[in-house]
Amino acid sequence: MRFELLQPKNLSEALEMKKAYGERAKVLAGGTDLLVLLKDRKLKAEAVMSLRRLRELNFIRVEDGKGVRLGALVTHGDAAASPIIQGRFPDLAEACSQVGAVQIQNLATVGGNLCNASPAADAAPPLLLTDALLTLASATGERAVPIQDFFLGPRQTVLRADEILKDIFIPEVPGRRGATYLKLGRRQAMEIAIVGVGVAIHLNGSDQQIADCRIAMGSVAPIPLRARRGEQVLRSQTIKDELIEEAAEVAAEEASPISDVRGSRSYRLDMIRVLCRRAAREALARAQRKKQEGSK
Amino acid sequence: MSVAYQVVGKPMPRTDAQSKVLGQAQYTDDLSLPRMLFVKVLRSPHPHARIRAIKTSAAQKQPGIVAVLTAKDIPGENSMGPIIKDQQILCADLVRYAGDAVALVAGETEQAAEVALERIEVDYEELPFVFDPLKALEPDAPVAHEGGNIGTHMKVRRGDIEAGFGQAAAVVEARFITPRVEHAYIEPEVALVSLDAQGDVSVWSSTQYAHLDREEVARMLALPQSRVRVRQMVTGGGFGGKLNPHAQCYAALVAWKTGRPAKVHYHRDESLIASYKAHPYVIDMKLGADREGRLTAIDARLVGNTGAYLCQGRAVITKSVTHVSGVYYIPNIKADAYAVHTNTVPCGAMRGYGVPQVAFALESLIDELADRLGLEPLELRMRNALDTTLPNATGQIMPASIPVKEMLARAKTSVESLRPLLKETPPGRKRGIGVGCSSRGIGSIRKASRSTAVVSLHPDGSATVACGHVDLGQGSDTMMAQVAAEELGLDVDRVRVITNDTAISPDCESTSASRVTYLSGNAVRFAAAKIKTRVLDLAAREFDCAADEVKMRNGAVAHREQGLSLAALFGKNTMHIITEVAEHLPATTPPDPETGQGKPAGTYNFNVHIALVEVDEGTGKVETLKYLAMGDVGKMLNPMVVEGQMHGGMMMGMGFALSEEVKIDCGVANSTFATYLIPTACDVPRELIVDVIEDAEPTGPFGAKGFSEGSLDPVGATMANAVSNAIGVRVTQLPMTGERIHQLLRRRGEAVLKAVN
Repeated sequence: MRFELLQPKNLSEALEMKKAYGERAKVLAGGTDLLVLLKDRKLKAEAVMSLRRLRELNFIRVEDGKGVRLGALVTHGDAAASPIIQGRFPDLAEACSQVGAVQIQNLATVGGNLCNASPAADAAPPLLLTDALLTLASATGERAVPIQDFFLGPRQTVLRADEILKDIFIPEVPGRRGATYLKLGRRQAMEIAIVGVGVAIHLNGSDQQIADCRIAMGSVAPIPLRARRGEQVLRSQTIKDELIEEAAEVAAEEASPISDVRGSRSYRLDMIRVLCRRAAREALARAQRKKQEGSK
Repeated sequence: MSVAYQVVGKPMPRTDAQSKVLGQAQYTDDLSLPRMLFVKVLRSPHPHARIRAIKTSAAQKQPGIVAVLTAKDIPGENSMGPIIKDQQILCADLVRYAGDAVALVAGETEQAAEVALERIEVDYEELPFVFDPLKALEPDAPVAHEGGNIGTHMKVRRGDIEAGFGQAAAVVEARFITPRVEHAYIEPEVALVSLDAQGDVSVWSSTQYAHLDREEVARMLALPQSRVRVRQMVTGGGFGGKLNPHAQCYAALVAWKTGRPAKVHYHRDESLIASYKAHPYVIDMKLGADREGRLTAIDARLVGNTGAYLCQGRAVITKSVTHVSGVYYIPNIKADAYAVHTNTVPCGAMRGYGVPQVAFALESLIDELADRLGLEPLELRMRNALDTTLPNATGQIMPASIPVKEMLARAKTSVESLRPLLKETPPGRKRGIGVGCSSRGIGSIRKASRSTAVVSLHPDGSATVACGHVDLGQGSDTMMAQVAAEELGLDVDRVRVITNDTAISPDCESTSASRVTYLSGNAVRFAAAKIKTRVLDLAAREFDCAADEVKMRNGAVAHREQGLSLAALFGKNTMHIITEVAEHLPATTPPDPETGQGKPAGTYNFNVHIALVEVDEGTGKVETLKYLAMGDVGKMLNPMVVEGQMHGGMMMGMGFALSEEVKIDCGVANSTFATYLIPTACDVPRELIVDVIEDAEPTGPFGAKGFSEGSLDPVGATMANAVSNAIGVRVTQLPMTGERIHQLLRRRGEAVLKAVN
């Protein structure tokens, strides 16, 4: 396999190259997806553009009063270990720490995980639980796309041929929010999710009163998606175990999983219910703990 | 009997450890020769088809292509197989599985060869095919292999099966299903071949049997074996999968036709798609016991899916059926085992060789029977365990080194210590304890196994051992060095073991069947002992004393105040070297083809394993909290090697138990390690304990015997019993994926609901 290797030194150079090459240049971040596709000849590339030198896209930063911004080149390992992420978005840290194995996490980037647009992308559900905005940059300017509008299908996104994902902005969610991400695989590492479910619960003052609930699922549809009807079951409700059960049932109805080598459709549907219940209970417990910590 | 040994029985790192850790070890793919060609194999996309024509001209015209070869280019015999040579090296007229080799392309680069591969035009006439072995047994099934789909039928017949079940107070029976399993060695198949000026052939390869490489390459090229020399390079695991030298034949054919060095290295997907697997089994088994818990009869039908070729199927099936009664005495036995052809990837040898499958069925039924009889599972096992007076399924009685009852007694203590942990089960989980046992004859069962060693003592007090059992990474070279060093009174680092060169090392048959320690260990020891006798005799003459008064140590001989270096002793006797040859051929009788009765192994290895598992009731996922592997090894030659082997075997068995399953759609469906799941370091049980029982084997070298497959044999059985115990439903199919266990839990839930309503 022969291809031209492009090694821009900074973002503006990269964007100029992308403008010139368009579809012909595939973007290399960590390489854990791209190189496998190239080796297996599932993808042909005239040129590969390595972002390795773009240090400016490797940062995690708190923007006061607004939220957290992650450069697209932050690795899963760095995200999982970041006190900023762990403190504010533990579900994202959990997701990043379950991607592949340590070796993969050291290379693979959160931005690459999103742009690869696998239905099983672990970083996607936790971001879907927030109103995360993706900054897509091109030589002519930038646009911010809400994460829920980013994915179009397996390996398909709204990224234009001249665009690069620059960063991910996660708005701060004030108050008593608890969130978690649960991944089910067939073994403990180096595994793609059979099902992944993230749940965020926002309490409304009282321990029992849910202000907002969000449910996001991976590996259950052509794209990672929110279970909006499932969320509706819990939103603005007084918490009851039957409601959690019902939300899980409804969430499963919103999924359209396939049968593949990792698991059958019926197992996946059952597992959405199981993981949804577990994640909701854990998210609730985390939200409830926030008050206790705050009142100390 | 307690003898103080200097070298054997001591833990010491393997002689190859440092070079491997430092990345200095030379594997075949590290080699490269000037003008070397890269060879790619065109494989059938169809499970069964007739080849009408092959057009190679377009491929031949591609840039960088030196040769495109098909069956008609083979000068000698176009057949291969470790035991039964029923597979063509390149298919001439029929392909029998998706992955069967059809043509070779040799290019200046691997990329050029890959591109040209796609330009070969094969005109196939697709034929009806069959994947399921039970369907293949039906009268109108497509014929997967000439001569019919039953490749082999092996039997065990003893006693009166009707009368046996007549005496039974409880009878249990079930159908058990086991997966097709991949060896997943870290180094896929690879070979490099070149010709010298005389036209002699040199092969460097990753192999379990260098001499079979030689035999097959010579037969294919119509050359005398003396003109082929094979050097096994450092080999990254074999586990039974590197017996048949297909890659070696492909490289050799290209080298022969082009006169240029040629290399074949399989990528992982090619290894998964084309290379041999462990047989998947369908086992129908019925077991009876009387009121006192004495087993009275076993009736078993074992159907092994051997795939497109029989290559090793007959031997695997023979091993299974002769081990059908496990570690128990069962007076009445009727067992029929079949190797059945289907249009799937051929199955051959794999660590376990038909025993783990049978152990899973038998040990599961033992637990069921214990339940019916109201006995503890270990108690039922104890009441039927083999000892020095009772015969196994082949009628063989082992006069020594059969510590099954001692192991079961120890197991009882361990199980008692685990029981309190059952009470600590977290909500939403189920815990269970399981026990599994296994027995294994060491060496080939279907025929006698001989090993030959040549040991040379040099005047500087160093020694060379030449023996044909190659080391695949399991540590046998280290143990052979220990054996020679012990016998010759040398330090291990003064002994060099050469097992990897057909020009130096005598043919000992393959490194397989847990045979190397027992067979070659003896051959090396006997040869070294002969040298020692000669040296002591020479020294006794010098010192004017009896030979048994002479001490031989560190390259010198001594008697009281007199001493001589070996160099001096050799010099006085015009000797430059002392070389001796010895063999070991255990006295065995192969199983009778009609009854399975005989004395097929020189010695047996026994294993008792215990697992404490926790099952997630929601997802069905199984977690192993504690695992105890108890193995009987005779005496340990090197405790470090023993422990490493037992860890490896146990984890390999864990894959068979929990996650590994080669699936077939047209050919192998899961052809990557992202879809075929072997356990990772994170899947190792939270606590893994290895316990070695040392009960010397009188016919083994320094009391040792083989055990390396045994550490895998009972894992599937043990885990299935533990999971069944946890969930209250009998598991009858491996691997126990979360999805399968979830289904069992659901069915149990529905059954309970039905009972309540």
